[in-house]
Amino acid sequence: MKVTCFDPGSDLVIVPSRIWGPRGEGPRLNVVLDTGSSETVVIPEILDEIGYSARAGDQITVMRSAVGREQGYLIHVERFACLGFQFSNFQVHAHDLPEEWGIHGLLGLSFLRHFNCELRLRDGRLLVERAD
Amino acid sequence: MNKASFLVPADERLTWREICVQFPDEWVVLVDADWVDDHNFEFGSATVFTHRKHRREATADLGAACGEFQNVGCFFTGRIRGPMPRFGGS
Repeated sequence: MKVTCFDPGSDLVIVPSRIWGPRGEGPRLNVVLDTGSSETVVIPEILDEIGYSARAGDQITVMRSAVGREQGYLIHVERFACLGFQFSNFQVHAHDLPEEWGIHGLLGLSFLRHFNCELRLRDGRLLVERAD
Repeated sequence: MNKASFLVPADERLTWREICVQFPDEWVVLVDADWVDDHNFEFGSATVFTHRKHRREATADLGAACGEFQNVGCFFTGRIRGPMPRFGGS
């Protein structure tokens, strides 16, 4: 069981993550726990900076939102770590997010579904254990 | 304003609270942070490699930071809002 702490006073559940790329270990970045997202999302400019590109992507994607259609891509990264666990060859959705949100990505169900999670919102603690 | 103006003296180590006071509502690239563990945000102190008004500028500094230092992170010092206003309050 791993315990990740977050600010219970924040509007969102924000946790740090790490992505490894062709240039080695990447920086720690804040992502938002988002059970409403099927994919784990990382902004493309981060992936570019650690050595990936859209050309290495698996497929082009289109997200429809209230403001229209926005293009992104799916890509497998060498390693993705969050909440005390990590996966190799993990697929993320490269898609831009507004800068004013103050984050670099969304931690979606593609990551979370591997675990049983206990979200203690008042305590600011997320308890996670492997489910498979 | 050139890039050097965003640099902080390399030997100045700051806590997260001090960083937020010194660089409010900015994107900061931290290096040599003494993280408490491998998955929590908490750290004792870190050196601010750069501080930028815009995320894209800070992201562009990450390559150099990761190349020169260990324990690198990039974070926004302001209040994090959103990202789904359709579910939000005011």
